Amino acid sequence: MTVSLALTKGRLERKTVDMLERSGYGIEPLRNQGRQLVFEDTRKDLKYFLVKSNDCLTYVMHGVADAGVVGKDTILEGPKDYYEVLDLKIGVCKFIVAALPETDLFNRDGHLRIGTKYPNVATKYFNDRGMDVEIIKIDGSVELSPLLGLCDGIVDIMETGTTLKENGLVVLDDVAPVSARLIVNKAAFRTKKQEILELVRDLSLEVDREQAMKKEKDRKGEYTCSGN
Amino acid sequence: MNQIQIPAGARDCMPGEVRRKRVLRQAIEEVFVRNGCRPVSTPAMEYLSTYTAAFADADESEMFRIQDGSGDMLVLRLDMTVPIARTASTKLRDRRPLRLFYTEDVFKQRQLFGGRRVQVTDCGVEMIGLPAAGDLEILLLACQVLDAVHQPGWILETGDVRFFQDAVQTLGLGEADTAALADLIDRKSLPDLERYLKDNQIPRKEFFLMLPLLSGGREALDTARTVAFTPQQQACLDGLEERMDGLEQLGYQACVTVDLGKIPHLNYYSSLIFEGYVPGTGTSVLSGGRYDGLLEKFGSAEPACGFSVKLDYLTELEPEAAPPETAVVRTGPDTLVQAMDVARKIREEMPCVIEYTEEEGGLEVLA
Repeated sequence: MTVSLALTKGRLERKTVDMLERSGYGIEPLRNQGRQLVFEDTRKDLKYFLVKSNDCLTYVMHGVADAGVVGKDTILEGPKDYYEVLDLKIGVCKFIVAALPETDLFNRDGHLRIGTKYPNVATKYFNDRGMDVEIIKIDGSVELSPLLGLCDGIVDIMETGTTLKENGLVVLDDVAPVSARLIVNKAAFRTKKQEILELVRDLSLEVDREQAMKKEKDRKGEYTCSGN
Repeated sequence: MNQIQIPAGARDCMPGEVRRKRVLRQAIEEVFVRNGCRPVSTPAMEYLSTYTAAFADADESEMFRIQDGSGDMLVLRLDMTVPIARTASTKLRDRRPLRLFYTEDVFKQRQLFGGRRVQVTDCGVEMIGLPAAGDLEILLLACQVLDAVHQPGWILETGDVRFFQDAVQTLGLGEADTAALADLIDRKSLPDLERYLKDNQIPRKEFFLMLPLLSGGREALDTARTVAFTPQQQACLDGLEERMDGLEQLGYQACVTVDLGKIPHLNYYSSLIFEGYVPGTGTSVLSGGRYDGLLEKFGSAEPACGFSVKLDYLTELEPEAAPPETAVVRTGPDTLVQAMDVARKIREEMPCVIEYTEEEGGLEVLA
């Protein structure tokens, strides 16, 4: 039976396609895409859709896609009625809390306002710390909100930290690590079990290979450094 | 704004869909009737307190709540198991085991714009006072129902909640760890499970990490035997294997599987749980299990089990059936009585409708 895999468009898509290619999947159509959004694998019985991250969850939950590759940030913020079987270890970043250095966010009295694109993640984080804060949903450039005085702090995704630094914000705490995950529809896990498990195994082996390579590279890197 | 919308998540059903749903319903109810089940019906509303008594962690945000005239909170029923458990404990105390069936709508709030239905039709059975020996009976009934809906390639997956419960009890894990592990294992969230086990120093890591993957045919049971570490767990596996054997002898090979990583949030299930899947739907179409502790909450401690079929999901897979052939009697204003009489006679054989024209003397029967 054909397995349909929903890929999150953009940077994650390219990294996922690289992984699939190294695992021996026929992803050429995904490399040379025009305007179409559905692609057939040239070697395996697989179909790919390109979708936005939130839609990846929706398609997989409804079983329109049997599986999907999506960031943990989207998973943490959205509904969770699917299986989350594999950490692909690509698109690695993290959720952080940040504020201006003069804001003593965790020791301040009174009402706190937190700006974020991820209200569920932010609410849970502060709730777990026993803090009652007001969450303000912001759709883009969250770093701007404390600078303009809309919020006291932010919860956002950080990759390198450059944007935060450039805006004079400091990281106060890590909220959760983020990386791409392979998610699977619950019914497809039964009705297409062999096919799904094969996909999971292939990608899992590729993750291990890449981790091993990275380790090797780090080790060599250390030698080079000490050599200098 | 024009008030033309229906509430989010609700549906108007067109004749073709209603017809397909009725065909399915009749096929399933026929299986129930042949198994000696009797129909029951309960109110569409229950007291909120009925549900909070039944579920230790009832999620009120999932319920449609209504206030009655005296200020008491009511809810649109979330399922049929709780209302039937209540009825059986209080009003049907004579015959045991009680074998009951129903086809009723149940209600649940859904994420807005998520494309999920808030009102679905459940068609199911509840067997009150059925001893553990009856597990095979209820599983066979589930198989017969899946046969009756004509969806080739169906799978009936069985599990036992005690397999996990006994592990956490034996290890003396606290409530928070148990809840977190149950959630991660049930969602087969392997990366997070691995992290949780490590961060919280849970013993028997390898057992919990295997749990989400202990699914499939007999080979899954064999693997489970190698990681189980209590006698009670081995007993669970013996029970599952015995029932798998039984169903195989009854002609159900390869379509019955196990999943030991199934830990349902409905905390009334006490041992056997099972779900039915058919190719083409994104969710299970049948679910049930044994709930030996539920009736006690309503005053009569006795074993019970049951399952329900999600009629709406199966209806979507059902091929369109042609509407019945219908005769037409065309009439003018002067032959109305005659036309009604002719139509009435035709209706003894087949459906017939009247078509009205302005012309006199034009009584005509069109096939």
